[in-house]
Amino acid sequence: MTTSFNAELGILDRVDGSASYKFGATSLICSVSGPIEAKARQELPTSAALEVTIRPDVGVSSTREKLTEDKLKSVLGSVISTFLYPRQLIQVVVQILDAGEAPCYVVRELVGCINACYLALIDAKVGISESFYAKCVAIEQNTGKLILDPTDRDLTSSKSHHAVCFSLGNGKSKSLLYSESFGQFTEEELLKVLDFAAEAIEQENIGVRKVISEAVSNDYVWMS
Amino acid sequence: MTSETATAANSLKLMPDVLARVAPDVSLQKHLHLGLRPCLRKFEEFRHVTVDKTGLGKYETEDKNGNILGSSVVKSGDTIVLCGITGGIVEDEQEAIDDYRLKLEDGIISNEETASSSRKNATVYPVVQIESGRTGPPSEEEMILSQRLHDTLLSSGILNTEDLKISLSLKSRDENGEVSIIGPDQFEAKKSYSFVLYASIQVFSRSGPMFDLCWGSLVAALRNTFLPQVYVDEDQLDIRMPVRSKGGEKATISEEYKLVCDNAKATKLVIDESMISWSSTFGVVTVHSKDGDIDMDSGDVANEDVLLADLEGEVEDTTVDRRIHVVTNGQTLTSVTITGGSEGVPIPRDMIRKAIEQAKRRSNDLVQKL
Amino acid sequence: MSGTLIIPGDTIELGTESGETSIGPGITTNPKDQSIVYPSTAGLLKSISKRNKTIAYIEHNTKRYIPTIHDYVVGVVITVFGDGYRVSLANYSQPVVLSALGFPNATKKNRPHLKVGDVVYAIVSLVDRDVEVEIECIDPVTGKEGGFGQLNGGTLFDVKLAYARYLLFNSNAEILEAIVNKCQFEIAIGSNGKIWINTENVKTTVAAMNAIVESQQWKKEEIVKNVNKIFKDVL
Repeated sequence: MTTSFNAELGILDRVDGSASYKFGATSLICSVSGPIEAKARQELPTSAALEVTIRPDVGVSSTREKLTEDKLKSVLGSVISTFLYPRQLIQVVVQILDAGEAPCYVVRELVGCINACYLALIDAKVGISESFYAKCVAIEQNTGKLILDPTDRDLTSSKSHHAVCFSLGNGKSKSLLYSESFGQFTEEELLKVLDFAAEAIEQENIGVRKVISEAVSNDYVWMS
Repeated sequence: MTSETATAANSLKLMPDVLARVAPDVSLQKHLHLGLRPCLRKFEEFRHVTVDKTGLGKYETEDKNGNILGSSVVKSGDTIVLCGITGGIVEDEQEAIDDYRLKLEDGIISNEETASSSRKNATVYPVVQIESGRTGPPSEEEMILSQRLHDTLLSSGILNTEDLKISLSLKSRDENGEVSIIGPDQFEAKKSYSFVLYASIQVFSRSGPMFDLCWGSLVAALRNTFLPQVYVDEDQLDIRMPVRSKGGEKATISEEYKLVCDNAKATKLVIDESMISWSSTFGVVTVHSKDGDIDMDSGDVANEDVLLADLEGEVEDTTVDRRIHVVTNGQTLTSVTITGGSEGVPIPRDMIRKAIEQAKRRSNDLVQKL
Repeated sequence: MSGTLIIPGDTIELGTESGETSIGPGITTNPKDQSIVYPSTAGLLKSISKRNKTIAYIEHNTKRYIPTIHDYVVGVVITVFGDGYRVSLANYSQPVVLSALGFPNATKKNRPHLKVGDVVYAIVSLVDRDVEVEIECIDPVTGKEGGFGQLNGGTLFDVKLAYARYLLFNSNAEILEAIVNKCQFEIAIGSNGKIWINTENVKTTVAAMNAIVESQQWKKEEIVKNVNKIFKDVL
């Protein structure tokens, strides 16, 4: 199996967890700090607060990033075991290095953000209830063929694009955490995309697990 | 856990509105057990929606001084959403004009790719304001709503960049001062311009998620938006200005077009009627079996997932995390977003199917109204 | 010493035949249903059996040190105030409080005089999320000094938290034995990833420090060879 992504854990020194993630033309860095002291405004009495910041590759962040932050927050909110850290803060920052798609799309960016966050959370050892992973799929205009990890060119000539995130248990795609689809498509196509993405996520997870395994064994060199 | 709260509630005798505030999840479950929602609607019952014209548009009224090109008002329950469309004119990017694909457009190259890329989807720039008695910068919800409207409209294909292109006419005066207008077929401007549309959406008495109504008002407003006829005023055409730059080289700035919008003449904004869509938001909630309560004949099934259509009120807004959000024209889907599922509480496939089916039915019903 | 890699989402096989099993760091139960046990971090699954009881935990290396009661820690005094000191256990984290009375036989009049920058070896005595974490330099078992207190001379350096724990709980760790053969030294290992070491002269101190820091990346069989090399280079 050829790996369609490049990832590295623990690339930043001064944060608790970090990861770089690159697939195709899209590449980003994610850092996680936490549990740290929350500002009074953010503090929640029974669970950890989540702060997500996305910095775009070009220019300053705008409402576009705000929306992506919101999407990312909804995914992270359902997987991070926030009850473990009452009144604390988990701070997630994603720096996009290359969006790899035209500014009118955010699908590759979102998928990259989710995956980079997963790896950075694993590196920070912040408690999460399950593994998760995302993939993007496009449906080709004429043939209706499903394209995994569409490039910018594929996106412009596609009739719809989808970002799908599944949770993983024992290497199998389990429940749907997040999915968004834009364009023109039918119900059958949507369900097909979900199954297709679930399978692709399982496939890629073998490689992701290897990356995590390497990072963990790197922490415990003296044991071997 | 639930039984404890139930006994506590019995001894405390909380009023419904107090319970809804202190324990929204308990309040929701109590309502659902009765087969009702906190807003007293049935599970899959939508609120009635009325869509109206406001009569505020510049080309709808006698008063020609306004700058609103199109508008709408959408009412549902207590909520009122007002949408006004305004516009501006931008010079097209030279790069885009020089694009060979656009020049060779008319059937010379019949490649699918060039055809699709030259007919790009357009969008508007919405600003959503939710009136809540506060001032200051827009809240996170407002920013997210605005951006979502922008993204959804862009991918929906309702608007097209071609239809926002301005076909310029020339307003010319002869020696006697008689004004004559040379139409776009005889006059060719050196530069090309396009309209850019803005939408200002105001929400009064928000109750629950606002995307559906904002989307409805935006589409309704676009349907009765008029774009003015634009002229180049000859008096100010082709002014040449010599400019001396630092290096001593001479340059000339010319063709400072003065564009004038006609106050009376306007054409209806072309939108793809077949893509007109309605948006529906659903919540997925698990109804827990009633522990402790002795109610044998109600026939409650243990832990059943139910679909709640058109979320309303604070209780549903705060406790329902699993949401399915569908934008459809009745046949094809334009946007589907599924959020909030997690390991313990997944979003079942049949709920997705059911939501899509309901959204299509709703859309077929409402698109006529827009 | 090695365990199997486990990541969130994997099912944990907890040995049920040996009676009760306690779960330790890295393993969590669902707050709504305590019978669901799942791994919340990626790491190596370990289990220790002792008298019909099993403790299962996930060995994982974090970067942030979170004080836990009875942890042995090495800290640096960063503020001196009326009743005590504020001590930093980790960079970019909240400092903890060391009371002036948190020393053996200390009274209002007879108390140690620490300055900013002094290094102390202490034990975490109070962890409560509503108040500041407190440490003290008294052995909780004997009430005596027990090796805690100010650390004079020597040098202070950081290692991975997991490595610090390993050295702390394995006093016969290969790397320490290898250094023993080279020089005499005093060492204070903190669970917070800070290690203080002092030998008879600066050169051997530097060599010992380098050996410990670098040994995080050594395999067991390389230790003796590498330690010999480091000491040879310095001396």
